[in-house]
Amino acid sequence: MIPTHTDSHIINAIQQGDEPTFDALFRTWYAPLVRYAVTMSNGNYEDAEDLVQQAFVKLWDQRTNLDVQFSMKAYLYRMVHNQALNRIRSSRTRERYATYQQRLMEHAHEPAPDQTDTELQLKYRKALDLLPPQCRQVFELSRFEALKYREIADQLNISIKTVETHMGKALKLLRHELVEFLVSVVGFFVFS
Amino acid sequence: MQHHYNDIDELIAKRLAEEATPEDLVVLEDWLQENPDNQLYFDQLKQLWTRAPVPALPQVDTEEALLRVKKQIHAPMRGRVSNLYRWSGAAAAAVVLLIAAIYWIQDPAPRSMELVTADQVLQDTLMDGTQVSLNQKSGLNIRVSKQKRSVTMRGEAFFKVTPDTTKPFVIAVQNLEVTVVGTAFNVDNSSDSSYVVVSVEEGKVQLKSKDQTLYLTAGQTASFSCKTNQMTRSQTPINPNVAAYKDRRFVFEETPLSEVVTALSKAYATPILLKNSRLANCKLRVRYNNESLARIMELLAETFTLRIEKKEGIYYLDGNGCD
Repeated sequence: MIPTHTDSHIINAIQQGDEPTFDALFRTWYAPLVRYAVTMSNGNYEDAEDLVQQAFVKLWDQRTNLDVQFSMKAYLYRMVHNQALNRIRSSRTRERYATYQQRLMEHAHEPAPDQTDTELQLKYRKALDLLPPQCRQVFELSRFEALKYREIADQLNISIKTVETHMGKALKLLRHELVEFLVSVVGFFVFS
Repeated sequence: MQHHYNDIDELIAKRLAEEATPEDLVVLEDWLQENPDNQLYFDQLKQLWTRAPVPALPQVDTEEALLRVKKQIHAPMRGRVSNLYRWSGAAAAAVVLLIAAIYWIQDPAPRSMELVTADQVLQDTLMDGTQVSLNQKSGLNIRVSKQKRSVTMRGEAFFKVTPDTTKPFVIAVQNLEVTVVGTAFNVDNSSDSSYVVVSVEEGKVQLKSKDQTLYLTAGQTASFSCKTNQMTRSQTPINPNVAAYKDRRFVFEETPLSEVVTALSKAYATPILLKNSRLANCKLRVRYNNESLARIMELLAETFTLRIEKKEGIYYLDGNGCD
């Protein structure tokens, strides 16, 4: 897969050390990447922001040998992902590593304080907590971060087939938990 | 075609995530036609997809974060050091801290401060309370002693100096010394590095070169040639847009479009080119107050019926011009 035209333009500019392009890239992706990084830093926003900033510093350091396979976006997500894994690996407390996945599940979707939740949204978050960790991660990368299957596969070092399996499984399990909260379209037509 | 239940979930997921191939879509369509329950099932999964609780984007200060990243990027020595280096670094830091502490005891006032910009305009307050707007790719260093406030700078900066008669504010740029007591003015050595242009907004400023001294008052501009060391007071009144990079406020009074474009290019650090030289004569009378460049381009296009094109970060303006 060759990166898109706009992306190759961006990649070239970054490789040549063009700071305005770097700034534009940063401004575009900073907030979404922080949102993603929060899920990999126990829900800690400060750590998440630091992760993303370090990823960009690294991007700049390594600009001359960027290896963008799919898209600049996927490359950035991957950098943040790897940065988070490195941080966990280098963390001295074993306990933190052991409970990483578990905490990730607990904290990933603490709603923003001003967010008003519908019942479905509350139940939905609980249902997401019940998914197997990788299954959930794949589903969220697809649905929340809009990454393509091949980009998710690349990021998590799994096959595209595995991504497909996780996605099907996620929807099936979510339906099992949430079916009673879904609007029945047939019923709607009959009674209104 | 018979499908296992798991397969159909995967197929629907692919359709929802826009990953389905044309063949996938045909298979899915067949399955949906098989039985009304299938359609119901599909609708449920589709609802799960559309109503998923996508977390809101976090409230982050992107500009501040970018500033931090740029600071790290431009720091001369950093990163990837071994533990040994880290320890020696810590030891060195401790020595520096110790020395700083000794200074601190001798003179509690902060002694010097440095500001550097890359691609952003920095607004900051110096330790004497002076407000400064530092344009892109500029730098300044201030040192406060008992007698004076000395500033060295490169590039372009606007100062609103806190009055302090006991400590004059002295800026050294190239071979020129600009001395003030309390006033607001702009120093530009960035547009053409062989000249320093000083424009005074309020108060009074003294300019001193090797063999010349000049006083400027509000509304006056002077330029200093770094080659000849000569200063000339500008005859034209101060350009109201001289420091527009700091707040993006522009005042144009029957200004030719060529000059408008120069002022905008500088303030937004974006090249803007006229494709037709007859456009240069179009006169503009308008005020812009912190608009985006894209918005200003739209307004210009309307005023002079221009065609505007943006290619690789450069704006091109084209039109019939004004006679």
